[in-house]
Amino acid sequence: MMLLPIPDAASPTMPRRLTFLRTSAALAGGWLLLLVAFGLYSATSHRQALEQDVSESGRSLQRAISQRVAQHDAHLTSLSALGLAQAQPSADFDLVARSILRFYPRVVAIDLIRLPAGEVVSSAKSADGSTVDPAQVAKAVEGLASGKAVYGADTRSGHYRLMKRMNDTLAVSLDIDGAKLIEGEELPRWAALTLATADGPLIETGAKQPAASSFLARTIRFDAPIASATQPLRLSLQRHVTLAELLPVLPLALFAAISLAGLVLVRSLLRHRQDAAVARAAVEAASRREALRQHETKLAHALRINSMGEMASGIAHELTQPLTALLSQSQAGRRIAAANGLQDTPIDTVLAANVLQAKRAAAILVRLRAYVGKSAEAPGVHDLCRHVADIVALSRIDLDRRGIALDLDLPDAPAPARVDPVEIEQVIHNLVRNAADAVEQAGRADGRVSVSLRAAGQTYEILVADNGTGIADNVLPRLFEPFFSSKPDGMGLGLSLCESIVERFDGSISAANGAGGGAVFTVRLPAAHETQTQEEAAE
Amino acid sequence: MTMAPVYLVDDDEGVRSALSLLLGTYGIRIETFGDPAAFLARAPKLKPGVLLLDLRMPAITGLQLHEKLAAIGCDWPTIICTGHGDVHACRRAFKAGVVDFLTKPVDEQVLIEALQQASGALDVHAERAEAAKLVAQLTDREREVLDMVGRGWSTREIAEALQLSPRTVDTHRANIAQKLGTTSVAEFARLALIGQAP
Repeated sequence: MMLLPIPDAASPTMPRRLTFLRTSAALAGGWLLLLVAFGLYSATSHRQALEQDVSESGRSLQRAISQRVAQHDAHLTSLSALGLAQAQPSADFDLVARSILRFYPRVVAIDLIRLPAGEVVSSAKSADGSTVDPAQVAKAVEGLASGKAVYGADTRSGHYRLMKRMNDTLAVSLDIDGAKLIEGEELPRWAALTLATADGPLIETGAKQPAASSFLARTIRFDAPIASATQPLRLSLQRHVTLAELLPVLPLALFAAISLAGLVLVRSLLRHRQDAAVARAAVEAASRREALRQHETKLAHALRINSMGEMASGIAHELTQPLTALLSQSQAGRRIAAANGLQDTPIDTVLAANVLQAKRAAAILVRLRAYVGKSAEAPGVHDLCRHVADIVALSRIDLDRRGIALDLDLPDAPAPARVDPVEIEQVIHNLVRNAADAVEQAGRADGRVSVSLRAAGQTYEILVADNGTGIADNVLPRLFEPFFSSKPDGMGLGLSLCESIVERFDGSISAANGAGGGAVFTVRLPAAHETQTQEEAAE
Repeated sequence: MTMAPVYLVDDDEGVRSALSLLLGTYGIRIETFGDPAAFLARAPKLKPGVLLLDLRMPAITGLQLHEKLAAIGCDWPTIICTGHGDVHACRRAFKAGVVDFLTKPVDEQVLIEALQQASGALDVHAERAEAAKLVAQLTDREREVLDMVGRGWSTREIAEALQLSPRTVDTHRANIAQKLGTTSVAEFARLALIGQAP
């Protein structure tokens, strides 16, 4: 038997490299997306924190200023109560006015004005208090109901006045330094602040920046009126945010570094696994090829041994027939000689010698047969399905190369039989090879060999069919004879060997022409009563 | 002892003529056939004899021929000859009712002995067939009575065992004697033995 070349697995290097590049690119892309998402997330949340900061400090400033301006109203109420209590403005008014100036430094001057002429009755000033224009005060409160207060602009920027008509003859005026409405430490360092009246800003800190309007780097604003009926003030905060400020460089860099390291690790693990898988696949393929080769070698060995036996057996059979004739004829000859009174004559002696030589030759044949007929130990129970499948798998390599289709049809249930698996595989192998030769000889392009196994009562039938030209009628009866071959270079031992093997396991083999042309060989083997096969026992 | 005819089926011309010659010197009647199918067709018309079959022949083996012959009623003693000396075939041959199994080339002494034994077996075979034919004519009750007579029971003992009157038993015995063509108790016993055995 020729050892069949087994195709090597295709080299995996090229596609592997491509795959590796592809997955690397995908991973890098994923990493970038991850970075962008992380940056967006942190910028957005940072921005939200800033917005909250601005609005919180804006609100607390608003509250503080509202309370302070409300105090101005309270001062006016106290002062007018004092001023009205006496007919003449007293030292009490002056005393209270001075203590207000002392404790509330943003009130820089307090004046009591007589109406409607507009003359100063009493005046208290701190160091930066300005001198009041009484006529202007009189004009501001003209037409105002008693007890009502009114806002007025001051000549000095950053100052405003709050004036109140006490009654028909008196009014009080406060000079307020707006800049002192916010104490130094309350000024936010990180924002531009404006506190303004309708006439202009009282406080303005921080450089005015152009309003940025990019996606994230928008200016954060806080803008709210101060809750006061008498002093129309408005507070606004502006916080300019740059993208650089929003993007947390260090966390982002850290995140980038850590995730990159993680990705590289994952990539190398993947690659390692891939390499390991490729290596494993290669080892498996090699061991499969090795197993196939071993199987082939075993079959080839069995074939050599069995062929030798079959040849010897065939020769013995062929020689036996003339030897039988020779012996019987010589013995008949001696009897005829004796009947004619020729006992112990030279002719009788010659015939007796022939008898002896024929027996000697027979003894040699007996020894030869005993030598080749030495069969191994009693066969165990094996699953025919498995061994038919095995040998078909092995034959498929050869048939694929020759462009011949090979069908296999096995039952689901195992087919236990008492056989030597290697020898039965050899039988099927021979039949499949013969079938393939027949198909090739017929020159068919759609060459097809089908192997099937089926249960028929207490027997298993293995059928090997082909779609060649079939077996000629004059060949059919002699098909299983040793040394009979229809192939020009055939020895005529293959089928004879198949028959010997199958009969050794109490089976039979027959050949016929199929309904659709082509030969069908049927191997019948008795089913074993035991259901557990040695394959199962081994598992 | 007269030898039954021998029918030799072997595809080898040399073997056929040599064995014909040899058996002829013993005065044994032998008919040879080269083609098993031809013999199978002729067999029903042949006188019962001993079959000498070659194991390995094209198209059909000696064992298969033996089975086919048995199927058409030629269940004569059969000797299988083979050049193979194959133990498996041998085991199957004996299972199938073959009386002997000889390895070629066959020594005349061995062959003649085997043929004589087979011929004796054929006689027994014929005798048994004859006895069976006779016994088959009996009714069930007569067969029962014959069996008891064969075991040496007296009429009275049989009557008691079967709860019959002695006269009825005697009537049965007379009928049996007539059907079997003998009044001998010993012959009764022999026929009961071989005629009823399977």
